[in-house]
Amino acid sequence: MIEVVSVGVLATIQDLGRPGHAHLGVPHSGAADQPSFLLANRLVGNVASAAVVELLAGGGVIRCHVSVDIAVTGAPVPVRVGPREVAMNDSTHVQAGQIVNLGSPTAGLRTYIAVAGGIDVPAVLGSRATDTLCGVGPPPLTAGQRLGLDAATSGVPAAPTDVVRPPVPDSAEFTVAYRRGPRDDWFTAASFETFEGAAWQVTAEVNRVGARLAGPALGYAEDRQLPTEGMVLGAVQVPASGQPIVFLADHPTVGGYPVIGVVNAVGVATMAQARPGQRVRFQRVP
Amino acid sequence: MTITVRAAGDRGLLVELPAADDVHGLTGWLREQAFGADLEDVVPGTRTVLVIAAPAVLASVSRAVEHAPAFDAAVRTGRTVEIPVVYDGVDLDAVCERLGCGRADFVRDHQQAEHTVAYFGFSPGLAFIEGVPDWLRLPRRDSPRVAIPAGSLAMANEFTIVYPGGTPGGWHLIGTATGPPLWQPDRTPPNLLEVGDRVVFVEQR
Repeated sequence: MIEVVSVGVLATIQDLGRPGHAHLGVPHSGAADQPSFLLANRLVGNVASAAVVELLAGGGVIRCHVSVDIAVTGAPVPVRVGPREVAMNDSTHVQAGQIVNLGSPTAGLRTYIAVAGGIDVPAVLGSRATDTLCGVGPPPLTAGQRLGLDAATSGVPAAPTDVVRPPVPDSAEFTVAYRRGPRDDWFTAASFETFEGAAWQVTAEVNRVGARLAGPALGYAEDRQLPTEGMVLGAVQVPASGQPIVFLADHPTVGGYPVIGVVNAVGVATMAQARPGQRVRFQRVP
Repeated sequence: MTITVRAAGDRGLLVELPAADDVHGLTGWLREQAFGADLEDVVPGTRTVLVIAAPAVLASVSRAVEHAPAFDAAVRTGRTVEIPVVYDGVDLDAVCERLGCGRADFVRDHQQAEHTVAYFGFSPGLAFIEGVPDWLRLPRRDSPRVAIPAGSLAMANEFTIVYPGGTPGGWHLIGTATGPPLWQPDRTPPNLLEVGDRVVFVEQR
């Protein structure tokens, strides 16, 4: 069992999410930065579906009541186990009673703590993930809460050669790959030129649902309302304001504004780590 | 049938269809194909079906859709679901006034119309039920309410919905659904309605 001693801005339980329910209006949810989440589980020998803790802007303290392996990945933060500082992106043994203390990230937004076995809370529709859009799954973690551990290990911690650090953007400007469409019929060639030519500023409105961007206004080629249609992870939706939103883990299942393009899986993880004030460019891939 | 297939990233295909019946038909038909079990999600929209799956599966879907049969109103889930309601919504008088009809006329025409579950969205299990007749349609209210009680029967444009509770909403409240909740996450299955279901609103007195 582990105990949440304190949490920072927001701490939620996350896993692979709940696919297969979008037709009923249930968001996919799950870890916003999937590569970092998967790495954390691999490092402690968990199965990929094990639940972990996702911290927004670091700042979490947990006490382990059993001797257990943990791993911290994602946005880089100082990690202390008891008095000693330990490395990120590696597994660390924590003795029963020891406290794990995470500082503030030097880049990125979301840090993951995997505990061997995985966090055991009741699953809702096949997942333990907290969906911040609709409130499906467990509520965000609070100080004093105790969490049981599952036995969802593969028993085989990842070898160091398996450790691929996911991209947490740490420069003022970064690039993500995207594919045009599905609503390329709603945008003119000039709109695409503007979209692919600009450095879009990440606004303060970034959360698990999406990242709202600011830049030159994108106009439509059509003068009607788009009938409601399904939305995919990574969709770059352009509302009437012309300022795009990149859809992340907790995005709504349907929407009524056209999608100019879709960011690929690595790009979604990068966007989930992007901080307000950073600038993003969209590079077209076929 | 004119079908347009559009890529939605590496893991999505958006299939555009001429009519709502085609949406319901194709949604069921895709699930019955050999690749049906490999589809992560099949998400119906107003005139589209979004298919989410691995890229290799999407290639098969794309080929199969070219040969999809024409669907008609008969190809639905075939179910009819009755929703018991009381027409006691706080907006009902204002709605009738704007429409220039009496309460009894509104209730009769809303009940007698053919209603079909078009898609789910906005909140888990919230079904958009299409079928409000032309002469009863109103756009959404100018300012949404902050919290709508669970079970509120509401109307906007061609749709009727039942609010799940705890959400804001800008639709006209025309009544209350008095039966079991249409969505209950700890029930199997959690949903009482499926896309394509015919819905009959049965007035309780």
